[in-house]
Amino acid sequence: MHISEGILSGSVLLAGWTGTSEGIAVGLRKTDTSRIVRTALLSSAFFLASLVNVRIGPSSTHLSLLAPMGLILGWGVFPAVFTALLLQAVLFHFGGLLVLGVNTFIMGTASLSVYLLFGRAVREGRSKSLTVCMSFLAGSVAVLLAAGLAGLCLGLTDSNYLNTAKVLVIAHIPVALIEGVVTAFVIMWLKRAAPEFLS
Amino acid sequence: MIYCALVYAFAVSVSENLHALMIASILPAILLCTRKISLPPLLKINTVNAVMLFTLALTWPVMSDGSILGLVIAWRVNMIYIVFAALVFPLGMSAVYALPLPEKMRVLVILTLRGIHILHDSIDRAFLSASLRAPDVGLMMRLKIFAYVLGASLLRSSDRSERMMRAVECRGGFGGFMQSEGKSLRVRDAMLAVISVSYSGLVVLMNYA
Repeated sequence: MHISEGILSGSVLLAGWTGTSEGIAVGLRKTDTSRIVRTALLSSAFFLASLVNVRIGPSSTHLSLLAPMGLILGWGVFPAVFTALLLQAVLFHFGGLLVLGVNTFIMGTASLSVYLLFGRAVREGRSKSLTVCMSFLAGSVAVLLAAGLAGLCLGLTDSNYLNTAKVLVIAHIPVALIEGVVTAFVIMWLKRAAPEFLS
Repeated sequence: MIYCALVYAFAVSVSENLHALMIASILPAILLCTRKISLPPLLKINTVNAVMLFTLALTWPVMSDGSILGLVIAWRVNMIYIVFAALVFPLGMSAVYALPLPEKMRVLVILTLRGIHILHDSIDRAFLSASLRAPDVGLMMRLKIFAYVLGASLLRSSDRSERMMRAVECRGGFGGFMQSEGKSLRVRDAMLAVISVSYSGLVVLMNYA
């Protein structure tokens, strides 16, 4: 769901940078200096895990892990996503620098929304099945929300992009289901092995 | 350099006039001839462009308009990539230092890069070990393995982060990450900025002329 360079209009690019700057400012303010190292290493782990391809039949996909990132980092997700995308652009030549603002805004907002919507239910899950359901929903909603936001950015650039946006959202439905399953497994593992991660 | 590239990229992104884009193509053409630009990423970008062109042609109200737009976007993407590849990417981490990021963010970027190098081997080993132990498992089990490897890596990285934090504190805190060299605008930088803004301004003006 990375949007490529050269597609979006100037106003959408500027709006994306504005939203991202605000998200990063709040995220950095809420991230204590003593937790920066932990945020950085979590960001690195997510960055590397998202580069691993998961084989599905004859094809393969890579996961974005937006929901686990949001559920663990909370508001700190904006600086973490920006860092990961900046390093991808500068060192691995993947994505772009001009659309970095919009891409960070899309992924950061999706992650943060999942944290605000499902964070409490996942942390205080009264039963195992409820936690599994909430984690699955969080994983799926994060991907669909990100795809929807990417579609919205395209639609704001030119209304003719709306059909492309619909294709984008539909293409992400299988990925959303897989992401939901992985999120549920990750959260259940963390609740068993290291519950302090979600606190 | 990075600001010149960003201003140029913005001017190209907002340009829809073909004459303006042609003028804008002069810079990447010169850079392509004079600088060493890695071709494999350019090939990968154009594969993605081909998929985008196909999608736009099928989803646009008029197929030919969608195809033309797809070609224009591919043109813009190539121009922007060549300029970034020639002027920004060779700077490596210096490009990150050049950005006006808050100190906390700069530290986060440095530590994330360090973390990527530290964790790369351990995550790779974990996935290799899992694939050797269970080469032919169903999708659900594969996703479970993926999730557990990720969980274990997060736990390990958290332990390591505690140790790293203590080491940072022992060395005198985050003060050590500050750059010792102050930034100043040289005549060459100022000239480059003026040329870059004038050139990008010309492209934007031609777009609206």
